[in-house]
Order: sequence, then structure tokens, then C-alpha cells
Amino acid sequence: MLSIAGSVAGVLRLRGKGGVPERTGGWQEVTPQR
Amino acid sequence: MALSPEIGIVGSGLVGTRVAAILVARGVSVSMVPHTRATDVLGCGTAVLCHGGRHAPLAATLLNHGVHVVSCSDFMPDVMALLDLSDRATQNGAVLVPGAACMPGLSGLLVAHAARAFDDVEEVHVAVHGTGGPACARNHHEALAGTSVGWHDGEWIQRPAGSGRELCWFPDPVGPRDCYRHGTAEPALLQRVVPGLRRITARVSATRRDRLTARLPMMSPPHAEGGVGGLRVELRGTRQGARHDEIVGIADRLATVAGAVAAETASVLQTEEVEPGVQVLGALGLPNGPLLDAVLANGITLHRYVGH
Repeated sequence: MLSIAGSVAGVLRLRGKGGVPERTGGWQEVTPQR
Repeated sequence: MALSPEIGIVGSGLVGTRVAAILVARGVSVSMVPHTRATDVLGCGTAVLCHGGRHAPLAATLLNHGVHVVSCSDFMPDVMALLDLSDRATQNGAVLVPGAACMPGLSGLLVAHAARAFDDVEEVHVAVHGTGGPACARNHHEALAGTSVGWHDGEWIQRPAGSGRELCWFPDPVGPRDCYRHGTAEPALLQRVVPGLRRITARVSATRRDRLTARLPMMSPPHAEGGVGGLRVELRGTRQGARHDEIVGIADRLATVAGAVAAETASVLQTEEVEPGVQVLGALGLPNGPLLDAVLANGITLHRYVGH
């Protein structure tokens, strides 16, 4: 049972996450201003 | 009755040990006990509940004895039960802070912080990636199988957990993750932070395998600690008559974040006058600005997304 589920999970993982759009911004470190 | 200067910590997992480390480092007296000996903290001024399982029954007992309670639980039925203890806390002159972890917890503080950049905040969308300790990982697993709640144009909506995929960018090194609705009390807490919100959603990152196996028992024991996780808070509204967005977030180990939030919240309850009853992080009633500063002073870096 576990091996079957593991195989299915492996196949799903191999299919990847799909396309990720290009990032146009970015993260900046900030310090909260009071 | 004089408040005991000691802070009790129930649970000795990742979050509990980090709460203890932060408090001990600044000279606070702590009493750390396992869940099975939780009544040992009845003599403490404040108790931080970091154990797995439900917190509401123990919180009710502690509140009956006038002990302030900080709960790290993010299990939806448990948090809703904690919110129902408001009258009990008020009657006993005690304060209960539910959801003092990462999401909920730091998320509320970040919403309150970012909301200052708006004339009117209409929407809040939060997402989290990763887990803390094993109990958190089990909760993550279960939360993808039930029902999620959201606030949509003035009414509560229910959607299947695991639905509503959205690609969310977290601060590096986490990056982009597919996130889904899940069973969390976060929307109910955030509505108390900004009562006029029109829409609130809370999502969690998950893989296809997570969603496929959500309704099954966990196939392997959870890791002792998840890797670097992330929290992302997006606010939408208006500023000076124009549409405005703000996105802030952090990337760190979630148990470290939860420990910092719980420890700093407990410190506030011990040292400052807070009105008895249920107090939500980010809402009026707690010193949210200094509290956020104190949390970030534990080595957690706040990021702001710039661009589109």
C-alpha cells in the first residue's frame, strides 16, 4: 500500500510544479518605523 | 493578588524550548512542564501553552485561577474555543492571547503594522510556508483535509481545504510556492485586527503529494523540525484616493518565529497593564508596535515586496 502511494507521489513530484511566471519585483529588508 | 513573576511553559517541544531560551536569556524565571503536569503552572503569573493537542480546556482552568494565558495553538476548533473564553478571562481579571505563533500570531502584528500605510484597508491575504515541530506538521496535514473559512464581502464562506491554488512569493530563500486554502482560525482573528475588512483569506503552501494524501494518515513520521519557512501578508486598500497594496513577509524557521512571538507576548502580559479578556495580536488592546519590534529583535528579518 505504502509503495503504491509512494510511486504515485513520486510521479506527481516528477511532473514538477508547473510554470512559474517571471518575477518583476523583489524583497527588501525593512526596519519598522514607529 | 500579586502576580507571580514566574512564567510557566507547558510543552517542551521546539516552540517551548525557544520560548524558554528567550525568557531565560533576559533573566526571567520560567517553569517548564510537560502537558501531563500542566497544573504545576497554576502558581505562575503567565502560562505559555506550547504543547500539542487542544489548549482550550487547560486555558479555561488556568484562567479560573487568574493566570494569564498565551496559546500557540493554530488548530481552528481549538482557537475558536479559546475565543469563547473571553467572559471567563474577564471575570477572573486574566488575559488570554490565542494564536500567538507565526500564522496566527506574527501575521496579526504585521497586518497592524502595514495597515498604517493605508487610509482604508479592504482586503488581507496571508500565506505561510513550512512547519515548526512535529505537532505543527500534523496540524498542517489535517488542515488540508477539512473545510476552510474565509471572509468575503461581509459574510463567512466555507470552501474545501486544499482548493483555491494561488502562487505566492515568499522572501528568499523560500521563493514562489503554490498555496491553498486550509482549515485555520486566522480569518476570524484577523477580522478582530481590522474589523472593517471586506475580504480575508489564509493559505498554506502544499505540494500535490500533500493534497493527495491529506485525507489519509501521515505516511511517514514528521520531521523533528521543518526547514526554513515563510510568512507573507498582503494588504489591499486605498491611500490618498488611489488603490494601494502592501506586501510584507519573513523567511525563518517557523518554530523560532512562534517561540519569539509567544515569549514576547508573555513578557508584555507580565510587565504591562493589559485589559482582562481575550486579546488578539494586532488588535487594539495590546502594544502591537513595541511587540513587533521585540519579536524582530530576536533575529527575525522583516521584508517588504517592492514591484509588481
